[in-house]
Amino acid sequence: MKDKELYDFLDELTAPDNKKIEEISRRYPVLDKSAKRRIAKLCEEKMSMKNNEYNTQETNDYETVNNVEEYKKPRWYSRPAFAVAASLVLVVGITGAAIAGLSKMDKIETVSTIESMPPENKEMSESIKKLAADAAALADSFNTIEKIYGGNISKDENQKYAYNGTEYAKVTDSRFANTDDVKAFMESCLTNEFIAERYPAMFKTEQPWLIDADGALYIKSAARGAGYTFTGNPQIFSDIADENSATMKIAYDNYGQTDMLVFKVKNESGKWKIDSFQSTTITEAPTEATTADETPVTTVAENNNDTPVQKTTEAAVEAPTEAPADEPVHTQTSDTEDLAISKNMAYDFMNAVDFTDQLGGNGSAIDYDMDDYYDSHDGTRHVRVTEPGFTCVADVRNYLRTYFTDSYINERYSGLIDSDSPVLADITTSTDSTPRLYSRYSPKGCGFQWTGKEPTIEKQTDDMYTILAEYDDYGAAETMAIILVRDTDGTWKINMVTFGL
Amino acid sequence: MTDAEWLNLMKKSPQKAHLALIDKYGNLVYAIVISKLRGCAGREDIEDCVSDVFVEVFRSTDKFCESKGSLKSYISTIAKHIAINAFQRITYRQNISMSIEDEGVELPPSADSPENNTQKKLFRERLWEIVESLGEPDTSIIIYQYFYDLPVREISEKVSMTPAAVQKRSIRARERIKKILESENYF
Repeated sequence: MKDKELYDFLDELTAPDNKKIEEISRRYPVLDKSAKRRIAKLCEEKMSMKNNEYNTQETNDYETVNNVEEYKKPRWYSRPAFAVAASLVLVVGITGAAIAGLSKMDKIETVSTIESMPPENKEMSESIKKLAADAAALADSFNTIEKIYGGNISKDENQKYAYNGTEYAKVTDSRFANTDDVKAFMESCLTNEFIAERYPAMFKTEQPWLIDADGALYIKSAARGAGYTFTGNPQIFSDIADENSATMKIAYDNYGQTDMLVFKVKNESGKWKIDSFQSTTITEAPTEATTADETPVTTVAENNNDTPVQKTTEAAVEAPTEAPADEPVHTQTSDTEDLAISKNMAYDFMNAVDFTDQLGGNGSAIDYDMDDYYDSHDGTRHVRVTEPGFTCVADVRNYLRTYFTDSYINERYSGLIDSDSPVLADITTSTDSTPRLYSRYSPKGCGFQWTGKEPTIEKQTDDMYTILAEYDDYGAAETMAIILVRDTDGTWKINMVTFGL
Repeated sequence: MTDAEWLNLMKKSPQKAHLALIDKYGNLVYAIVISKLRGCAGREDIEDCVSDVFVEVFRSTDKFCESKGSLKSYISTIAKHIAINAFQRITYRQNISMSIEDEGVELPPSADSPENNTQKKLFRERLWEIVESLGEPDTSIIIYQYFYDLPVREISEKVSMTPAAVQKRSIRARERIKKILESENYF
């Protein structure tokens, strides 16, 4: 009571507006599964539902609905979902046609049902078959849109058009006669959320990438590096916990290095669309097959259509060394035989926690150009980020997704890039139409000063580790626990960090 | 799950649709309700009110029109109205009980002048900025403690710390907030 009086000003911590309430509910959810069940039961009672569906199938049903679309975009698999999915992962090896020849879809092999699939999952199998058939085209479409967003599309530089001080060139690609064609193309292969998130400046901004003028489609003249050169064929990982979700991976050439694009795809009314993606680095080749056109460790059967079937066995999923296609995509080898997490990896994750904290608080580890700034209408200063490797919000997102699970990003770092008032944002200026990364300038104590004590790595389960790292907290040695889990793509990621242990 | 998909699910399996909606919007509705009922209602009343909101949504699904707005907006609007009604019902009940038990008690005069409201709003906004600048887990602890009114034991489960550690972090965090506000002449 005394405390309450002493700090009664905190009673004013009420939500100032609807947006804040929404943000709080998303970032600091208060209802756990049992609370939601309790509320569902209350509803049931109030609605006088006599059937016992809630009671008899409560757990199963709840697991099912728990995998519906999350409140916040972008969304990736939650850990429990992966745990369920791990027992029945379909690896669709799409062999034959290289992505360069994407139009030759007849050469792409498709997936069939798997032997152990229960009858009720037959529909999912059909759905995955469709995805397998569409995968290469989907990746190609994504690449086309990426190229458009970078100005890399056929155009006639001699036919210019000036708009809002920017020069545009007439698009000569026969597929696109106007912006509606591009919109329709995008909507056919990307979810609306993904479009809004990744391509906000495509249309109807001050200086959009595409405009309709003189009855034709025009694109910004200034082209930038865009698009991907795929070097492998798509692989699809299906999650039985959510039949309308899957992961699609495809290797690409990143300036001489083979990296991986990992897409989260979603079935919208029978049509598979890309919902989000991340780029991950392959720093060490797995011992066996590394590209999609090499066969993963699978069992092969035949389906009714006589197309090859590749099925990852449960044992293969649980023993990553035997399933190279599902290996972690950034090198994660242990220097200790018993542990999957090495000391070096632990330091890597500790640095990620420190660096990300500094990203959010203008820490000294981040490079800024203090002379390159702008002040928003409310007087907030934004300074240009010059940290190597961070040129746009997508870089930040990729960085976060390399080290953190999406649920943790949504929980802890959504304010960095995915809020109405993000710390980091892509900004174009009147003199430079290329979006560049700026950070709200509000330096505050951030980052972590490690004490130098070696981190302790503790194995919780095969798929969960804890790193205990000691840091200096205003003179006191405190310990943080970094909880790592194996993500759907096999990589280790931070799923939670707790401080002051 | 899109709004259209949910409406389809509602037709096929109402129970599943109900669970899906509670799963997706439960936390939003809870936050709306607590923002209206904080301080005057207990946990049970709040969860009861949250369930009232969903029951109303389920019962009035046919009134929801996709072309007029999103399901989220629809649910938020219902949540606000029901929470305000609950607030009036609960405070009326409490005032009655107070006047019966202690007739001498007078309610303090209202301080809701436009100037006060503006000052309050600015103070709240600044308070949120400071709380959010604390860093984790302090931000979470303060929000769970003061916005959601959760007991320390529950907070400790949410942030995976011991109750004692939560208590310690909370005290330090509150001190930090107070010092910042003092340095900015709020007190």
